[in-house]
Order: sequence, then structure tokens, then C-alpha cells
Amino acid sequence: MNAADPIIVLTDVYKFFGNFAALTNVSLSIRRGEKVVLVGPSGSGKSTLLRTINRLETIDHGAITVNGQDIYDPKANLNRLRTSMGMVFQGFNLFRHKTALENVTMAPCQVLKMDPVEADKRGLDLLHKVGIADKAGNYPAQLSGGQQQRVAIARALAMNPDIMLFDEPTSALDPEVTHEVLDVMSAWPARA
Amino acid sequence: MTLPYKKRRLDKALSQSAVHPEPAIQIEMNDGPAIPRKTDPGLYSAWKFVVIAAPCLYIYLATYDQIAALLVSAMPGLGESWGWLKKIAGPEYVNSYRDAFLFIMPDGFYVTLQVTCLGIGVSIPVGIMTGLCRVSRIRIINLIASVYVEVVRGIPLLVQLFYIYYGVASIIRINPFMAAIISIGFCYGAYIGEVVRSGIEAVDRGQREAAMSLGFTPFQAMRHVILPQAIRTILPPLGNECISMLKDSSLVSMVAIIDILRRGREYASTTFNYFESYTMVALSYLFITLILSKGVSLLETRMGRYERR
Ligand SMILES: Nc1ncnc2c1ncn2[C@@H]1O[C@H](COP(=O)(O)OP(=O)(O)O)[C@@H](O)[C@H]1O
Ligand SMILES: [Mg+2]
Repeated sequence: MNAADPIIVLTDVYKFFGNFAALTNVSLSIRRGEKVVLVGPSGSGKSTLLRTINRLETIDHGAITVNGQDIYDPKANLNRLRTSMGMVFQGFNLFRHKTALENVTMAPCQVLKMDPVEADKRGLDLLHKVGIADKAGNYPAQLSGGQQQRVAIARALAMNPDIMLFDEPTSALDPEVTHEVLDVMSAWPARA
Repeated sequence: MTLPYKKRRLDKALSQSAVHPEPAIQIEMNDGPAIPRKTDPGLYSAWKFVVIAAPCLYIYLATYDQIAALLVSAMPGLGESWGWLKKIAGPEYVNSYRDAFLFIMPDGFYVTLQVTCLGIGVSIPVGIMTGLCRVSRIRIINLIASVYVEVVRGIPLLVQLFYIYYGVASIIRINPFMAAIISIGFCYGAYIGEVVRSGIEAVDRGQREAAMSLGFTPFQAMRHVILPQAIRTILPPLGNECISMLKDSSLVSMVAIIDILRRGREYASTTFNYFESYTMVALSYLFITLILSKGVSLLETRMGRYERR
């Protein structure tokens, strides 16, 4: 596949919540390796847009293709598709009953059937990269907002996704930490 | 200057709040936990009192004549000055409480516990299935589970018991014991189903979304992410359901199953010692439920561990 090929394409996407139009006529195309930032006031539909891209929300009109595959095709393998897309949520949504490390290793173990020992090694590696390897044994409730955020990033990266979706990656952070997290994000080999 | 008394109280409060952090949002899904929380001082001290007083009374009633005999043999002078003590200690005195207790004791207890355990064994799988079906997005499955819950919850357990024991058993052969287990198990299965459903629904939606975004199948998300978290909310009310089941198991005495209550009734009607007999029956149930509620609360604190901040 050519590096210049678009990896995410949205055409004419509409999304309604009841009578409320959250997304109207959104079209965009993102190429492999591109970093795109969505900017807009609160409530403008940024989260909704990201969520439609990995089908946590359905759309009412239009089409979305990822890696050349129409994700609203009923035959599409949603799980495979989602594995190729990492998402960092606005509220992080870390698994509250698992430690930081377990949060990172759970999906590789369950979804990719990776060997647990191997997964632990990689998980620690990732936590090290995002700078919180020393908190590997902590539960999310024992981590600050910035630390949770970084665990969430490591958790998404653990699946080796082609695409990373960040929803307001810095909204919950104070300015100093914002810097660190942005560093972590830009250190990730640019993909999308 | 701080008063030592106040300081002690403060220290105690601080140490307790560190050991038992209250969850930020506490959802009461039932008529309260099996063991009252320490934040409810009235009920908590009442609970402590009952825990000590009831077993003491139970043991005292079953053995007071033997205690008297011991006293009299140790201090013969006591028997001389207190005639009634000597009478109680005498060989011709009959302790009807102990008689009732011994009449109830091995088989009645055994049957009550057996009915309860089997009832729990049936109702928990049924309840988990029902709860899962109730949160299912597949309409027909959801509908079937909902109808089951509504029907069962609308009929008294005693009527369900008679329905299966007399009604259904007249068409197909079911032995009385099976009939009792089936009706208790399926009745409580519906209640437990609702407990399981509300526990699952209390788990933040974001948890499921996070799992889905990582490529979990709905089943994996339920199994590895949602249920383990729901258990925490489910466990206390589930324990309460089990304790209620133990108490409601006394209804099976209506269909010729020889449990604690049935044995007590038999004893009372043959000896006419109604008061003694039913006192021991009541204390027997109280005794078991106290032990069970302690077990439930131990489980509760163990499950709550990972929430500690
Ligand atoms: N599940 C939902 N039901 C109804 N309205 C929703 C739902 N999710 C989002 N919205 C609405 O859609 C709009 C866009 O939301 P969102 O995408 O979260 O905005 P942003 O992330 O840009 O702040 C908001 O006005 C919000 O009220
Ligand atoms: Mg948002």
C-alpha cells in the first residue's frame, strides 16, 4: 500500500441524537503517517466523530472507510478493525479492577492471545516509554489524572495499532503534565 | 490543649476511615447490607448486641439445668438456701428447651441448610443467566427473561411452592424435595437476576467502550471487564438474598419437608411446650443468619480491596 493512500476516509457523515444533529456533512481524508488535530468548542462533536470512526457510535448517513474497508459493511470484522485502531478516551476509562500493567496487557492476552510473560515484558516496556513503569502495580484509583492518561496511551499502543485516536488528550491535565503527555504522543512513530 | 478523650475519638475515627473508605457513590440496591455499616451507629450497635446476646441466650436455654447442677455440686450451700436452684438441678427436672433443641437439632438443621444450599446452587446460575438476558440487546431474549422475572415476582413463594408441589406434581412425578428446590431456586433466581442486572448496569458505560475499542468481543468484555467489576456491587445484596432464602426455606415445612420449623412444630404438638419449642426454632434461625451475615460481610470487604485509594 502506498504511503500516500488515505487510511481514514469520511464522506458525507451525518449523526443524529434524536432530533439533534451532532455531525452534519463531515468529509475528511487522512493519509497514513499524518497527524490530524480536530479543534472545536465543547459540544461541537469532536468526541462523537472519533467514536464513529471505531464504530462506538453508528452513523445515520454517509460512509467511513478505514484501511480501504467500509466499516459499516455488515460483513466487516469489527473486532479486527478495532484492534487496528487505538483509542484514548476523554475520561481514560481504565479498567478499574486491574493494575496499570494489567490494563496494558489485558487486550494483548485476550484478543491477540499473546503469551502472558511476553505480554508483561512488552507492557512494562510501554509503561517505561510513557514514563510510569514505577506505577505498574497501582490501580487506576491510585493514579493521578496524568498518570492514568499515560496508562491509557500505553494500553492503546499495546495493540500495535495503525491508527491512534486521542480524545482531548490534555483536557484533564495540568499544564506541566500536558507537556509530558504531548511528548509521549509525538514520540510515537507518526502514523495517524 | 486537646482533651485526651476527644483525641482518642479522633484517632479512632481516622483509623477507621482509613480501613473502611466509603465508596464515592454508594448505591443501595436493597433494604440494607447484611451487617449494618459503621456509619449507622444505632443499627450497628444493635447488631453487635444481638450477635453476642442471641447465641448466649441460645446456649443458656439449652443448658441452664446443667449449669444449675454444676453450681449446686460445686457449692452445696447454694442448693440449701435456694430451693428453686436445687429443683432445677435435680434429676427429675426436664429442660424443655433442651428437649426441643435436641429434637430439632441434627436433622432439622441439616434439612434447612440442605434446602438453602441447593436453593442457592440453583438460583445463582439461574440469576446470572437471567441478569445477562435482561441486559441483552437481543429483544426476544430480553423479553423472555423479563416475563420470567415479572411472573415470578408477582406470585408469593408459598403459592409457587404449592403450585409445583401439588399442581405440577400431579401431572408429572416430582418428589417433594425436588419440588421445594425448584420453586425456591427459580423464585430467588428472578430476584437475583434483578440484582445481577442492576450490578451490571452500575458499571460505567466507558468500561465496555474501552474494552470494545481494544477489540474485545462483547462476550470477552462482559467476562473480563464488566462482570468482575459488577461483582463488587452485586455481592452484598446477593448475600442478603441468600439470607432471605434461608429464612424463606422455612416455607418448605408446609410441604412435608422436615426442616427446623417442621421439627419444632412436631415437638410442640406432641409435648404442648409451644413456647419453649418456638423459642428454640426462632433462636436457631437467628443463630444461622448471624453466622451467614458475618460471612457475607467478610466476602464484601475482601472484594472491595482494589477500590482502596
Ligand atoms: N449519547 C448521546 N445522546 C445525546 N446527545 C449526545 C450524546 N453524545 C453526545 N451528544 C451531544 O452531541 C454533541 C457533541 O458531543 P461531543 O462529541 O461529546 O462534543 P465534544 O467532544 O466536541 O465536546 C453534544 O452537544 C452532546 O450533547
Ligand atoms: Mg469530547
